[in-house]
Amino acid sequence: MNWISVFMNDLRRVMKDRAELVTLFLLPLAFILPISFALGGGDGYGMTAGNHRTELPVINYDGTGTSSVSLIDSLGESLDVEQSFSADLRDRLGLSGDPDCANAQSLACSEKTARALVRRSGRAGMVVIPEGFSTAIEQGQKTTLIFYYDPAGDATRRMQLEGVVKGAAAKISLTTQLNQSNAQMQSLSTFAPEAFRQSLEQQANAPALADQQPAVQFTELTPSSYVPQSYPDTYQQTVPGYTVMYVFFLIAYLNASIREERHFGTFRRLLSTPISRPALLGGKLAAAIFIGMVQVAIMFGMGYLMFGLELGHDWLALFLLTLALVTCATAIGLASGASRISSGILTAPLIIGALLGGCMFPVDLMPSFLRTIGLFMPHTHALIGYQNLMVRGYGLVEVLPQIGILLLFAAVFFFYAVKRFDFLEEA
Amino acid sequence: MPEKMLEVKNLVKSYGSVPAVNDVSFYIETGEVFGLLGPNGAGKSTTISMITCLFPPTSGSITVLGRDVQKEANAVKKIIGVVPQDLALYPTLSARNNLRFFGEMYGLGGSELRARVESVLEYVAMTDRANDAVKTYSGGMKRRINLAAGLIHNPRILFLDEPTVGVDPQSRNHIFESVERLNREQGMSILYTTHYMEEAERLCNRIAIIDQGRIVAIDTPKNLIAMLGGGIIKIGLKGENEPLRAAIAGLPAVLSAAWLPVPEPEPGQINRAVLKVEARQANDALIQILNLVSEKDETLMSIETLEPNLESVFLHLTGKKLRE
Repeated sequence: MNWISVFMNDLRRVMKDRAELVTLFLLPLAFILPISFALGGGDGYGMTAGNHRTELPVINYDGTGTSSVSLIDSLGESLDVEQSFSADLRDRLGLSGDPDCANAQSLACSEKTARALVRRSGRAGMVVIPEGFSTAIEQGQKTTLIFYYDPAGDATRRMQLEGVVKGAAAKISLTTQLNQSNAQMQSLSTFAPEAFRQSLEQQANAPALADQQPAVQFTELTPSSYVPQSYPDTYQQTVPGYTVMYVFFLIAYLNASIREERHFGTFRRLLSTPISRPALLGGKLAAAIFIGMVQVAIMFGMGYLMFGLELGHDWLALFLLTLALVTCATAIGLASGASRISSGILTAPLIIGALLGGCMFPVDLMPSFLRTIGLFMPHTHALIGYQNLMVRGYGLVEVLPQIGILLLFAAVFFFYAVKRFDFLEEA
Repeated sequence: MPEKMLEVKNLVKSYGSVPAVNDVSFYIETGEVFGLLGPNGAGKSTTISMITCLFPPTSGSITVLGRDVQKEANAVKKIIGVVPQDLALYPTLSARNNLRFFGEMYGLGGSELRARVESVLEYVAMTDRANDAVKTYSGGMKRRINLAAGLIHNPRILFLDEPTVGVDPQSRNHIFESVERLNREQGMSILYTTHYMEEAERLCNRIAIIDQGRIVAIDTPKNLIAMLGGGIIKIGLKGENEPLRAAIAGLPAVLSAAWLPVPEPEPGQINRAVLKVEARQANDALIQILNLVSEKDETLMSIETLEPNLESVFLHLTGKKLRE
C-alpha cells in the first residue's frame, strides 16, 4: 500500500505550496464571486433571471390621456416599462441631493434618473411622452414622442427598443385615424340610402378597432421533437464554468509535480526503494484526482451557500460527472508530464481551452465555427453535463454521453502518457 | 574469508552503439569501503544506477548478497541504501516528513518508523532543525539529510554517489566521519563514488579507477600509489628527441620515460614535446635528468614533478587529470 504514502505525501506537498493553493482554489473563487455578485443572479447572458424583458423608462407628462395610456400598455406587451425608480437607484446615480428630486415622485426627477441611467449604459434608451400627447392625437394634430438614447451604447438593443416604440406609436396613430374615419363616415350617413345607413350602424356597434383582433395573428410553434431548453442564469453559468476551467489547471499542477520529482531526483530515489512504478504513479494520480474533487466540492459548495445554486436532483450523476471531469484533467496532466512540455507553457492553452469550451461565457454567443472547435474541448462537454443536471434537471442517463466523452478523452491521453512516460528523463 | 556483499561481473550499459559502462567487474566484501574513482562522465553514476535497480544493464550480472538485482529487485532494494548525487529530497517538506515518507517506502510504520527517523536525525546531527523545511537548510545540511534518507531502513550496503559535491568543509568532514562511523560501528559495506582523490584515499579500503566506462585498475590506495614508485616528472622540450628519451629511460633512478601527446601548436608557437618520466625516487631522478639534459645541450622548456598520489596514478593510467 505504498501508493497511499505517495498520495499523502503529494497532498502534504500541495498544502505547503502557497502558489499552487492559490491557483487551484483561490483563483476560481476570485472569478466566481465578483462575477456572480456583479451580475446579481442574472442569466448567463447578463440579463435578470426573473425578467427577461428589456427595461424601457417611460416618462409620461400626458397623465391619464387615452393615447398615452394606450401607448404605455402597448409598450408593456414587449418591454418592461419603468415609470418610477427606487430611492436606492437615485442614490447610486448621485441624484439624491438633486433639486429636481426634492420630490422623488415628480416627473422631472424620474426623467433625470432615466437620462442618467441611459448615459451610464444602464438602459439602452428611454421615451418621453409630452404633455397634450393624447389631446393632439384625438384632435388629429401631429405630436412627437421623444426617444432618448446613448449613441455609444449597445446599438442592437437600442434598435430593438426603437422598433418596438415605433410599432406601438404607429398602432396608436393608425387606430386613431381609422376611428376618426369611421366617425366621419357616420356623420355623413344621414345623406346615405337606408341599407348603407344600417350597415354603418352595425359597424358602429362593433367593438372599437383597437380592441379587435388584428388581421394577421402571430402563433408560436415548435417542432414536435423539440425538448424545451432552459438556459443557465449567471450562477449556473459562472460557477460550473470557472470550476471546470480551474479543474483543468490540474494539468499544470501534475505537470509541475512530475517535473519537480525529476528535477529534485526524488523519482530516482523512490525507484531504488521497493515501491513499484505503477504504485508510484498511481499514488500521484490519486492525489491529483482527490485535489480536483475537493476543488469542485468547494466551488459548488460556495455557489450553493452564497448564491443558492441549484445542483440538480441526481447526486450520483453529479459525482460521476465530476469524477470523469477530474480524471480527464488528470490524464491530460500525466500526458503533459510525459512529454517535455513545461507548466509555464500550459497556461495559454488552458485559458484558450476554457474560452472555447464556454467556461467564461455561454457558447451560444460565439460564432458557429468557434462552437465547432469548442466540441473538441473537454470543457464543453463537462459544462454541458453540469448544466444538464443543474439547469434542466436531467439525471444520470441524460449525462452519460458527456461522462463517456470525458472518459474517452482521459483514455486517449492516459494511453499516450503510459507509452511515453519516463521517470528518469532529465527535467 | 569475508562474504561478498556485492559482485559485479562484466557489466555493460550501451546507449545505441556508445558504451557508457564497458565490461566492468568488481566485488565488495562485507564491511568494506570501496571507492569508484573517476572524472565526471566516467560511468560511475551509471554503474550505481544499474546496481540500485534504476535501469537494467545491457549485459553482465549484479548480485547483492547472492541475489540477482534484476530477478529479485524488491529483496535487493530492502538491503541497499542509496544516497544519490542529487539532493533527492522534497524542499517544501521538513526533514522529518521527508524521512518519514522515505521510511514508509521501505514498509516501516508506527513506532518503528518514528524511532528510525529520530535515530538517523541524531546520527547526522540534525534533530534541532528536523521540523524546518529542507529548502531553508544550507547545502551541507541538505547533504546530511540526503545521507539520513539513505540510512532510514538500516541497509546492509550503502551507495554514496558523489556525496560531497558543493559541500562546505565542515559538512564534508561530517560526512567523512559519518561514513567512517557507519563502517566502523555498524560494519556497513559502502560503495563510494567520487572524483576527489583525497576522499577516496582517506575513506576507501580498495579503489577502482574508472575512465570512459572501463575500470583501469583496482587495488588498495597504497598499492595503487606504489605503482608510481617515486612519482612522475613531466619535462617540456622544444621537440621530440628520441636519443634523449632513451638516455633518460636508462637512468638508474628512472622507471620509464614516454612522450605525452601535446595539442597542435598555435602559429608562431614553438612546437613543444612533453616527456613523462616515472621515477623510482623523485629527487635523484630529477638531478640525473637535469645533468643529462645539460650534457646533451638540450633546452629545457618546463619541468613539473607530481607527488605519488591517486591523482598522479590516474594521470599515469589514463593520461588525463581527474578533474579535466
